[in-house]
Amino acid sequence: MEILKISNLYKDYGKKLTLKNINLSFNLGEIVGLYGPNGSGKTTFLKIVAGLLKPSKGKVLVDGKEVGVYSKSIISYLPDRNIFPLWMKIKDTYKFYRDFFDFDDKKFKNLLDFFSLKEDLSLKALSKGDMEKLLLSLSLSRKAKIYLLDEPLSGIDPSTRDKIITSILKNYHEESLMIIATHLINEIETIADRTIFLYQGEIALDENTEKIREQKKISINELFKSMF
Amino acid sequence: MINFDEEIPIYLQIMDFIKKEVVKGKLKGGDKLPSVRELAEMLKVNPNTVQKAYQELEREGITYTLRGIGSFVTQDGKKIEELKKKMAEDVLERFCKDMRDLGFSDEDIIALLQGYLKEVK
Amino acid sequence: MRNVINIVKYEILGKKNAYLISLLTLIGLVFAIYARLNSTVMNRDELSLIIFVLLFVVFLVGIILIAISNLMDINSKDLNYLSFTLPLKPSVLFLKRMIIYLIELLSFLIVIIFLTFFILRLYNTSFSHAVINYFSSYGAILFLDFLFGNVIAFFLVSLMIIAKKLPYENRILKIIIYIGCILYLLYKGHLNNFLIKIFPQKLPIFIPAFDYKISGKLETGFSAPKIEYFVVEVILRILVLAIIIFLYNRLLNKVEIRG
Repeated sequence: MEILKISNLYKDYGKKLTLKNINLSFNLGEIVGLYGPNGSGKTTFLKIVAGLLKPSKGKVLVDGKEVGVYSKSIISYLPDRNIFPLWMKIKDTYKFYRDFFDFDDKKFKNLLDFFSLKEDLSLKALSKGDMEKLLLSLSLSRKAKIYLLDEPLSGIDPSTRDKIITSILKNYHEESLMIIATHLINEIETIADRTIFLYQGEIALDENTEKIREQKKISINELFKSMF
Repeated sequence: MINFDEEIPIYLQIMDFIKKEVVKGKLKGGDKLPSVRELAEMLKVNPNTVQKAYQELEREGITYTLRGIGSFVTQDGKKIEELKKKMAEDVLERFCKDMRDLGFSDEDIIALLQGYLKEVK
Repeated sequence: MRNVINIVKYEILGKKNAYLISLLTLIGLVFAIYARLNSTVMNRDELSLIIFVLLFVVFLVGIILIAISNLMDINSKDLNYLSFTLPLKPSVLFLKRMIIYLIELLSFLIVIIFLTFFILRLYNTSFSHAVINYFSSYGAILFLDFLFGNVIAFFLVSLMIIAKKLPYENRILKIIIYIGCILYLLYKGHLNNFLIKIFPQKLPIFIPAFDYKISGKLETGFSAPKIEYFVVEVILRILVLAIIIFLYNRLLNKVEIRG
């Protein structure tokens, strides 16, 4: 079931054309690896879908509707930075999310346990890794149809990365779409069943992951390195 | 659990792993395989990939699926014997090809093999 | 509307420490002024005048600080990732800012007026009686006039702050807003004068002048001019406020959070 449709998307900042002629269609149940070097437009793309940026040209349809209040209610966006005010404690953040979104309390508490985080911790006291774990827990505990994860693994030590990947898989379900944008291809390539390469604002590749392995006999990471 | 080679389709590697477990006897006829979800989480792969592996295994007759319950290893002893033979042949094919590439004749290969097996005992 | 209440609630929750400190500072400051002046040897009437002027200065500073803090908050608390990923209509963000600004402004007003009256009553001089009488009679109109003017100025500047976040496609709109706001701020007076010449009708309400001279000393006193309300002025102000609110909401629909 098509949940996200991007048609003819362009993003122009005046000095730079960040996205060019993006045409994509996504269905529920996909885990998509959106790969590209820094500055290729991955974050810009996700922010447009999430509603933080406006398209210069083209259309973004979320469940058939343009970006707006409804799309924001069914999209869970994990940004590349902390978005919560630092006066909050962890328990404040989830109460906040619960007040505005459909939220799964139990799932959140489970994730907190899994990441060994305590509710009473103040955001000011969290390390970068812990903050990422918190933001991920909040994002995954939202009952959303689309999950947009922007660089969920960067700046994280390997053992935590493993935990994060496990939690992403645990929370996957067939009624949601997950788009993971990262430059750490080798960490994500086994869990993403669809691979999209974004290079200098354009789609360079959009293919089923296993098909790429079958046809090109190469890992996604190697393929990317060879192309760019 | 499995160290995946990312250059080969993952679903093939999963199938291979399960076939080996069956041949080794670790998975016996009638044993239930983990659910798609469980295996995906254990191996850290996409559930659709596990799904495809299970589908192919069923197509090859190595497993069968009971709807709503799960996938099970076939109880057909003949099938398992066939699988053992096929896997052995695959290994032998690679072995013989490599030995012949090195220039050994068939008689050399047999002699070297016997000698090796005696030592390693 | 439940969203408006929630979003206001969380911002106030975050500021509650700041509010407490501000309140204590204000009270402390006022009583420090009172204590300091009380110990000087001076005519009580003069003292009450000086204290009133100082409190008036505190009042002005407070209003400016509240305005500046809220303007900065528009940038940091309204136009941020969190606000724009929440499933909220942009008008909710406008309402949030207006409600919080008004709450802060009015709370400050109440506190400072209460403190001022309290101290003036303590002094019990003819000056303090004059001031108290004046405000008792015309306080309501002064309050409305003051509030209206503040709100317009505040949202006018906030339009410029929001316009900064318009995307490349709206760069012309951005410039128009900047120019429009600055022109209005600069030439509001001229515009008023021009309109008054054409339509000199006045409202039947006015605030009389306040003129107080310390008995004996002609140089010491306090006076405020008569304030009259012209119909065109009032209409213009209402129109400007409506336009500003309309633009504020329209801009919120168009802005981007680049971060």
